[in-house]
Amino acid sequence: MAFKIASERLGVIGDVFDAEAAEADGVNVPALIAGGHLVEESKKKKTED
Amino acid sequence: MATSTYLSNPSVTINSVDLTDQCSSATITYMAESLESTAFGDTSRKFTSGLYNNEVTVTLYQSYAATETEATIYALVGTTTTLVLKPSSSAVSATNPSYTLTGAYLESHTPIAASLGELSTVSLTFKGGTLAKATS
Repeated sequence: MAFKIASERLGVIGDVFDAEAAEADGVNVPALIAGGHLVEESKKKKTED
Repeated sequence: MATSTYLSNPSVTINSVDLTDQCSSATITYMAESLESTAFGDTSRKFTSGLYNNEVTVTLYQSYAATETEATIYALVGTTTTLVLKPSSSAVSATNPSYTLTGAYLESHTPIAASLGELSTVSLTFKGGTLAKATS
């Protein structure tokens, strides 16, 4: 699951957040999501006609 | 020559969230528990190192705004996280070391701790974890 930064306190808003690397460093990713610091990156739809 | 350090601009990051501008005090306690190893024949007590028992205490101004103090801290209770503290917000160096406490447990939080006429603050104690010091 990919996340984007949603808070200036965490980083640059809109940047991709590497949740796996953060968790490896002991960061509590669910708490970041609960606190509104991260949002799930919206899945882009492929439209091929 | 004696020197004193006046920390006016330290850096405090809790769970990767920079809460420096909400923080008014921070203390790192780096401790190795002492185990007594005194034996017959000794004339003074001896100790050896036991488990490390590190702790970080911080005081934060309370804020219920989005992505501020309350939103950042509330979900950390009963879990472990990582804290990074530096004496200054400038780059890490030998004279501005970075201290990272990984796996620190937050036992409690006071979402409301208010007194009339005073700014509301939150005092947090993060227990345990591994402390690492970096100078580069």
